Amino acid sequence: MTRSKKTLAVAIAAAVAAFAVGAAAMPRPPALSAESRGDSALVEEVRAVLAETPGVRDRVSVAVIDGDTVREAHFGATDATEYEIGSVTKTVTGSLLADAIDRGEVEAQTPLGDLLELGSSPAASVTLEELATHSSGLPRLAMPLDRVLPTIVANYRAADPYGSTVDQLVASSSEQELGEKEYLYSNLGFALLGQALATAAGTDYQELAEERVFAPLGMDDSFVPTSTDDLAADAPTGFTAAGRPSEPWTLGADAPAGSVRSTLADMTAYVRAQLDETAPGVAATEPIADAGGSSTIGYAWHTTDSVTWHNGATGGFTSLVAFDRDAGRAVVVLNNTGASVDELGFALMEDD
Amino acid sequence: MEYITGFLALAFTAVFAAGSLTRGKAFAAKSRLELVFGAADAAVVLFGTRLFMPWGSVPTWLWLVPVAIFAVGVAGAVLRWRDLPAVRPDKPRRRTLAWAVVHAVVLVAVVIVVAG
Repeated sequence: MTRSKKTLAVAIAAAVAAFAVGAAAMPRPPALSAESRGDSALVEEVRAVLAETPGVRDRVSVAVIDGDTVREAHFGATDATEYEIGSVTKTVTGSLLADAIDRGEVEAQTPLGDLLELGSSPAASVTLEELATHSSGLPRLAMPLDRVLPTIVANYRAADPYGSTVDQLVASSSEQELGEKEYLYSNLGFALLGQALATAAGTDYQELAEERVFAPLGMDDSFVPTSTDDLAADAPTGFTAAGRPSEPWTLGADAPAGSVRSTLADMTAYVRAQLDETAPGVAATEPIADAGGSSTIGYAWHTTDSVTWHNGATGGFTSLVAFDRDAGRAVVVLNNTGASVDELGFALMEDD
Repeated sequence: MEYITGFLALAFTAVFAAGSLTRGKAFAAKSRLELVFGAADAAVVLFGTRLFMPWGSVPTWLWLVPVAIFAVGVAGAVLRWRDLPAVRPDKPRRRTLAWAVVHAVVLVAVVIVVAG
């Protein structure tokens, strides 16, 4: 073999080897679990809607409540499978505000500065109701300069970008300027609201949610982690929208904005209590402010047309809880990937 | 936003392949060092694309497109290897090597951060 032919052979071999390595590393995102259980018609309906909805899937649990009838569909899960419910947690915080007002601990117009050490900062003048309706003028997140890079890295590593202490949360909030007092979705606002309510009650947010919402509704498998120390060693984790394994999100002091872990059974009990108006702090569901477009907002709960709802997303989970008192229907969707379940949830709400 | 990684993978693998296969002024690698770093840049971007592309929303076979372009680049690099100097003779050798070290450190850092 001449030198040029030998070089050509080596080049071809190297290209084939490179392609083979690349092909072997071909992405294999998780797919909707083939193991299904529950109401067979609902299972097929959910499967059909998800097939038309882009995104990585793995475990999904769905409940459709019509009056006293509850239908469930599970893929790779049971009604006791634990999920991160993300920002649906804000509805728990909203309920806690309505409940605290009922108890006389706070008023809707109580300034945040009466409960947290915010000094004379702009955030001190914000009222609890403004926080609960996303109209405080606070930004979506508190982002001190020293957190910018770690947050970007955490996002790319599918890790929890939160994790400050209450003192750090309050300190960074006292440095925030306020924007217009109009609807602007704010995780920071709900983190502060939850911590303020815990202060007013003389406890921490974890205990407050447990005592005033989870225990009265029998939500025994629901809890508020604030660090990975609060999770079981085998606590479920999810996948990002790209199909990468995600780390758990526990959010630290931002827990009132999105760290609750729950099950379909518990969230079904939760939304049924909202539907029949027996939930603690159910006044939170009543719209009191504009939320942009045709939507209005109560304490965390958004209402669009006649459907009252909240969705949630963490690094590896998405969720939707919705109900329509006029129609007597409620829906819970829990999912362990970063792909949205809003389309599925609203389709189930409209279904005849 | 995540889809941009797919376009980056196509761009970087195409630049590497062009550098190894062409001899024009615009893209052709002028040294073995440039070939090596062209391959390393493309490989790191491919790594990131595999992690960050929303593969549940796009056909996974699309992954093979930048991989195939990379493989063509590898073949071109092997064919050109003997014809190229180790480093560009028209640039100060010390500065070239210093930049190579910086370039390598950046690539390693990106891999460490991305892979977690």
